[in-house]
Amino acid sequence: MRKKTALLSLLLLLLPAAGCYDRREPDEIAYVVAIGLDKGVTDRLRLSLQIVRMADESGARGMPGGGGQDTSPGDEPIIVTLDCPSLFTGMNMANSSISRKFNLMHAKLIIFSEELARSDDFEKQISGLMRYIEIRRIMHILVTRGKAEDFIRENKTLIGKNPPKTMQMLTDSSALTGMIPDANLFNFYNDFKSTFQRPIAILAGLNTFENLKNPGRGEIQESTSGGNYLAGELPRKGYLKRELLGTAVFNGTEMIGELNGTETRALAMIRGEFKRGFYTIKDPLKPDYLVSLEVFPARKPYVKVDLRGETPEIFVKIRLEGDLLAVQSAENYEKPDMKPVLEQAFESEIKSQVDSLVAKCQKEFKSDIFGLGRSVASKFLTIEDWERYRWHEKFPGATVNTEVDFIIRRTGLILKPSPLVTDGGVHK
Amino acid sequence: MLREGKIGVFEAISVITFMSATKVLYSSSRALVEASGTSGWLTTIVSGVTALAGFYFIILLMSRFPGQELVSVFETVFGRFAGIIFSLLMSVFFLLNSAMFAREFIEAVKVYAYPLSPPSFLLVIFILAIITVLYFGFECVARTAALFAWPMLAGLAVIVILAVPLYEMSNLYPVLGHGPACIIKTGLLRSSVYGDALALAVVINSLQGSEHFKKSGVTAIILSTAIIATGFLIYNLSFPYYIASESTIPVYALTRSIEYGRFFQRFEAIFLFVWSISGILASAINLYFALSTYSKVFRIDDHRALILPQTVIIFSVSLIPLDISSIAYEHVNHIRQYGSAIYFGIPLLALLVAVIRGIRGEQAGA
Repeated sequence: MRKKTALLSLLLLLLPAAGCYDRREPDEIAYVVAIGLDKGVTDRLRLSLQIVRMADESGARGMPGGGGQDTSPGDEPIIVTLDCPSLFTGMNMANSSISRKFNLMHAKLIIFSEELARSDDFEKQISGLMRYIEIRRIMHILVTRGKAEDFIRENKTLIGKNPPKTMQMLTDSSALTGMIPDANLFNFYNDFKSTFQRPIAILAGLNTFENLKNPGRGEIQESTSGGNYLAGELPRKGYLKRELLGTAVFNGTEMIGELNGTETRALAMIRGEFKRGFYTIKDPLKPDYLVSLEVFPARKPYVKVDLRGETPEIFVKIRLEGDLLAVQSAENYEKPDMKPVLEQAFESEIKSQVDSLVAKCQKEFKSDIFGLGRSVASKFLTIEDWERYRWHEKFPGATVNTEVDFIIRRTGLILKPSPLVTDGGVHK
Repeated sequence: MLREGKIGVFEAISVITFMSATKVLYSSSRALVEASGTSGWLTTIVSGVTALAGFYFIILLMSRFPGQELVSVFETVFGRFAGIIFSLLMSVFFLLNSAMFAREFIEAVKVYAYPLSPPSFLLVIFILAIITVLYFGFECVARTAALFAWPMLAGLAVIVILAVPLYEMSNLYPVLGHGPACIIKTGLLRSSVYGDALALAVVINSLQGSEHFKKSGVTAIILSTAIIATGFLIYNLSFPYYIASESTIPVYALTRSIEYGRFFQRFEAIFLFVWSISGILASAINLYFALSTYSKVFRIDDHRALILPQTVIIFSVSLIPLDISSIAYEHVNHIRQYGSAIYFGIPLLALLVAVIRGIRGEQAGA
């Protein structure tokens, strides 16, 4: 009898343990995938929420991954925009027209307009966000050139059926190209209050397709990097206007500048966050030709700090490796005695990019977005000593020396190219 | 005479480890991070070493009175009246610990998992689980702890491993936090975190002799220190010191930040499992020791008669704090800071009195 009573009690415990007060059916919830924040007109904030289309009763549309259909390329995303005092009140206000409760647990992007990011209000918005349970710190943070509302309206799904997947893959391109930073809310918030370094966000924008010039109206750039553009400026056209390219730089609590794709790659290399990327440089022996390489980090960057002098001296060594993708000139760079020629040319190219970025951050931004302060902090034993040192004030005057080490590991499908042929049929 | 049965070393270690190590999963770990900055893991090692020293005095005390439990030792040393007072102080402290575990758990559940459920509703479920475990007595409590020990350790190990991508060595700098003096002072003050090993002296006759008592207590303190220090280390590795002291439940914040691509996110589900089992067991074990001490003081033979009244007290006491701020900043903080006086102070006082007055147990004197 005692055992039966105990067993029954245990079974009864299971019923309330299901949390009936907090029970929510998935179709009672409006899942937000992107949050846009602009400066408001009739209130402090203009809030835009992009919501995943839900399954209707006939099952014609469905939740992503839930087996139903989703937005087809021509479909407009569901977007609510309103002026409100805060994100949270805004969600309540939006419920006056949308019956389902908003849920931010699946939000992938939070997008700030550049105007808001450059204002005093930005600090208030970030500080006010982090307390709410539905704000997940793994969502990515974007600053868009222009209005966040406009960006969200163009934030469509072109390939595939799953908007959240699209948003996630969009920011995952950081690991594929290095031209946008891997800036999620977790890192941003950590750096936002940091005594070690300053925060960065992904730079976003809308491309009007006007940069793709018609023949005779444009001019070929001297640059070969392909990343010397900011979001919204790529010479391209076709389908989606949305573009993520470059970095929004913050100094303290406000945005103070932008980095293009190439600078963002250099930044990732110093921060040790560079994963891979295609590079094109001028052929060192035949500058009219180009050489393409796929580059990976060989090891984490080595950072050495010397605080004995008046100004801190920092030495950064970036260690990279790569594969040959294309050699237009057909020079035999695969040969052991020729390989260093190309390696040194690439090292020199990257070093100039890195040095130029360091100078820009020291002189123009006065912002350590590299995280060099982390290595400097290792020289201090207590937090009090470290904070008294005031790293953010010291950074612009610091001497930063860089070195790039690059080795070509593989040469692709060709180990020895045969020479090109002249018009007369002779090998060059 | 309360019949508590017999337990082995593993069960005893599990019981004490659940009482001690569970604290790292709650809000008091935030307070330690705030107090010690980047050196939380070093500070808690100082606490562990201090607790080992404190437990050494408890071993010395108990070895003077073989065959006697702590309540009986207090009565022998201080006399019946003063002994009862000290024993009841201990009982109240265990009860308070149990109530605070319950309330902290409920508040954290409200914040992280069930925001719309009323606290009393959550508390009733929590207490029903405690009653179920306690009803079957100490052996059941100890075996339940032993049963969940490995799964809990595995759960924590999974969190430690999954969080590896978040680790940033530079978050540990400056290595000494707010300085060596702060590490030692805070470490000494918070040694009560590991003081739960004292509870073994309350049920020493359920262990297989004094050797098992020593072995269980020392191992439990070392194991708890290792678990808590690891918890602080991974937390300090993942969050810079100025952010680390912000989170309501630090380890929960850590698990929420883990992601492996699109498919592997939201690992707090693992933490919820570890968290709720540990919380219920820690609260139940503390309540059992409160019941056991009380029963021994008043010579009550069956602890079951006390379960309902004590759980009503737990329910009421745990609802006394007005809000999570007063729990985290006042109640739990005071328990951690001044708990050493109960855990180590009273046994040390008993030892001193016993040595000065030359009091020994009957078996020891024979």
